[in-house]
Amino acid sequence: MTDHDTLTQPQEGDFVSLYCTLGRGMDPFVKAELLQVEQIKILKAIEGKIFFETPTSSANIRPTTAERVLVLIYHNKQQIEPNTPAPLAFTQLQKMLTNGVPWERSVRYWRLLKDEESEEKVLARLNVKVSGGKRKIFKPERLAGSLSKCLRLSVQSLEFVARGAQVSIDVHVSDAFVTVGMALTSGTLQFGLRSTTASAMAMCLTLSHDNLRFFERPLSTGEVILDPMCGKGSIPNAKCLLRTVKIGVDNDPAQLAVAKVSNNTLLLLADATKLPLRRDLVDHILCDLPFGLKYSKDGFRTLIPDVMSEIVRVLKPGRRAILLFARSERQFLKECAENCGLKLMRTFEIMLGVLEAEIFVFLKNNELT
Amino acid sequence: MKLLTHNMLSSRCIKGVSVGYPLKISAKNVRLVNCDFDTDFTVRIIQKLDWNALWEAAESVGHADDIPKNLSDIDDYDKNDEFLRKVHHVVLEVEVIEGELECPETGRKFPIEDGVPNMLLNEDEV
Repeated sequence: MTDHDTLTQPQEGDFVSLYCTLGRGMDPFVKAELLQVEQIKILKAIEGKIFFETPTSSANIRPTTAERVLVLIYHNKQQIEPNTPAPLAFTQLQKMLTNGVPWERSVRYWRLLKDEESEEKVLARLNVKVSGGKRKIFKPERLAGSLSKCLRLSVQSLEFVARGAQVSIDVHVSDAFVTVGMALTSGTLQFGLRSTTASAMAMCLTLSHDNLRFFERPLSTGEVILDPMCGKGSIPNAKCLLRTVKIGVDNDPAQLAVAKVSNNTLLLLADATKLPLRRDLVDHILCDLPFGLKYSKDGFRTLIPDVMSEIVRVLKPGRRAILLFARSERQFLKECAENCGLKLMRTFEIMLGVLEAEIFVFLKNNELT
Repeated sequence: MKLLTHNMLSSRCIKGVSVGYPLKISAKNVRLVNCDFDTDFTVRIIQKLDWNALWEAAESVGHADDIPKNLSDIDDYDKNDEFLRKVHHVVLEVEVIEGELECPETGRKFPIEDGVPNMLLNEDEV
């Protein structure tokens, strides 16, 4: 990755360095989304971040499985020794973030990508995250204040403010790296946790990219996808499920009322253990199963096998069920699935906020009807 | 409830029902909506439909004139744009907003409210 600053104005067609932040376990999905973009080049992947270069014309990419997308300002190995006193550590960090760092060029690229024509200073707020052993040296709020003061002197195109910022400048100091970026998306999560997870699950149907190594063929137009516990409809509304027939079932009318009804999303008020659908009807199942937090232990142990049984009944032989479930109950789910004739093909361990979750990809036995 | 939805519904989940298909429609309020036409999508949907059930459903909501009673009456339907657009209209643009669905074996009625069929069963039905 280039580190030098230049004074030339960025042009359409230039390549710009960006990065995504992503939740644990989401790497294969984010990579697969990025690699759908022509001319994109993935430079590096570390825990929680994927760095890539793309033409400015494609830089509006917003992977649905990523948390945020940022213009890369700085990324380098952590050079601060573990027991460095805080004042010295701060001086070292300050030098890292000012000497030769392409702040001005990054701001110009940010303006280009956000269509910001104004030449006035961009109002920015430092969002500092410190992880690992560096938390013993740096306190995020104090570090943000100190860095704002020193960067104010060296970065002419930014004005650091506490409120009313146009953009967040993310600074992440970990044990291994220091990474600084200028956010292209707003908020902590560009799409919300449920939507991001739903996208990852839906991508298990749409992508046959080598990295994922899933299935022989991707999703076809007009295929029928069922979410038997759809809630507010995050899964049926996943963007990669276009041109399919999506059926969302839930037994809570309040949830269904929130579910956005697209022209191809069909909603039913029904019980997932008694689906009002014909046998062998559905091409694929996508479902965020209950994690058991709101159920009694006995109730939960009865519910899941009943739901699995119905899933298998309505699913066509040889087709896929993509289920999100609590990682701690992995064995229970696998047993329920096997009892119904589902074969486990692959799993992805992800974090759903603080919950340890897993995406399970099952295949219905071809001979089972 | 679109007629596409109806084509997939069954009341076999009721205790004692062996097939439960197709459900009979009594529509009190039918609405027409606009939905983008997609040739390929419509062709694929037709391949999944139970045509007889679709025609009966279309007749019950007053839109049977738009489509033939037998799919075999149309040659090379996948290349017939006019036919495909009519199917698209019936399947996706005709919505039953208020009404009932009736199990063909037990006569049990399921309400349709605000376009969503309520297929929840009572304790004694499962």
